[in-house]
Amino acid sequence: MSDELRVVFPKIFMWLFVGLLITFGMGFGLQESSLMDTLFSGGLYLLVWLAEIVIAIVLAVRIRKMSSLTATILYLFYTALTGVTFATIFAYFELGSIMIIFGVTAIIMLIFGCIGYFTKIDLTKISTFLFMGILAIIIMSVINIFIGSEALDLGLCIIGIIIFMAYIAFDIQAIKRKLYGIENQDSLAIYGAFQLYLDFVNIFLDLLRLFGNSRD
Amino acid sequence: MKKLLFIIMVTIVVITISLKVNYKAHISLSFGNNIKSNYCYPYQDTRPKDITNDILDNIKINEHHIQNLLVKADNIYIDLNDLVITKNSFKDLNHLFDTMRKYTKERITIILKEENNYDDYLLNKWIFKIKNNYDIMVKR
Repeated sequence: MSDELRVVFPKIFMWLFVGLLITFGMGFGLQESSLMDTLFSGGLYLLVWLAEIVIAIVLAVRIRKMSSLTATILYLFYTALTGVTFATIFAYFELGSIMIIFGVTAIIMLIFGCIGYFTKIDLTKISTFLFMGILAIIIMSVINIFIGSEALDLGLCIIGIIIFMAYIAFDIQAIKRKLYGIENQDSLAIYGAFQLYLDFVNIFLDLLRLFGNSRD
Repeated sequence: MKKLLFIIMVTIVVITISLKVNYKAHISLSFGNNIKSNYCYPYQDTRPKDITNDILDNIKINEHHIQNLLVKADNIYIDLNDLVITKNSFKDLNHLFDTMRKYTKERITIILKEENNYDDYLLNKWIFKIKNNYDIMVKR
């Protein structure tokens, strides 16, 4: 491992941990508080989602030009906003179930992170397949909101988990090979953490839908 | 672009899950310490629980809160397990059901003790009435 990577990877995982802590802490705290009432009754929910998408676009487009401090603030703000929407998850699923699946997702992240780091195979070759897969899942998921098919939901969850597992390996390899073209170490750490954070959250949600126990 | 798709994915999943959340209101009543606790799942009510007024005043005080609770709930459970039923409780409870039916047409279920000290005949008569008048289910 080069000296640079030896510095960057711990930072990435530290920021990933901080991001996840904020998201899950926020979700749990909101669900336990009466603020949940305000959140559900107003149009605030829509605003939160809109803000999330705006931050994602800003981070993706401007990361190379913005200071590492701005990137960090935006990343933390994004994780907090995701936490707000996560209050629903805490409302619907049992806390024990959420904790177990969080642990399982962390183990999956570790395994596929190692695969991505140590493999000699060039994973950029599969990036087009993964991208098309995500696109297909999104289209089918939107359709399924209206159809409400349990079987389709199950299928999409399984495919989603496979794709996001592959994305973990892909993202780790991309960070290692500096494919994102970010020279600043701190910015790269935030960007890497953001990538892995999204992988983690997506796998977590799919696993939760598959194996989570609802509170009903 | 990839990140945007990931975020859209998270959003879709959260929307799908939020559509499944079944909002339940759970109202526990006991006289003397009237509305002991009430909460609307998944909301947690953090209001003070020691209210010492009689239930009619209590309903007036809490009408806005009850309204908020009911308009969001898909299922309403009224837990009378801790309630010692007297003749006056029928009147008070009927008032509560009047208030509730002003705000919701959703299913209301009353949870009653299996054994009750109150006269069975009068209790059953009252249950029959509330089933018809307020379309309320009774679980014992």
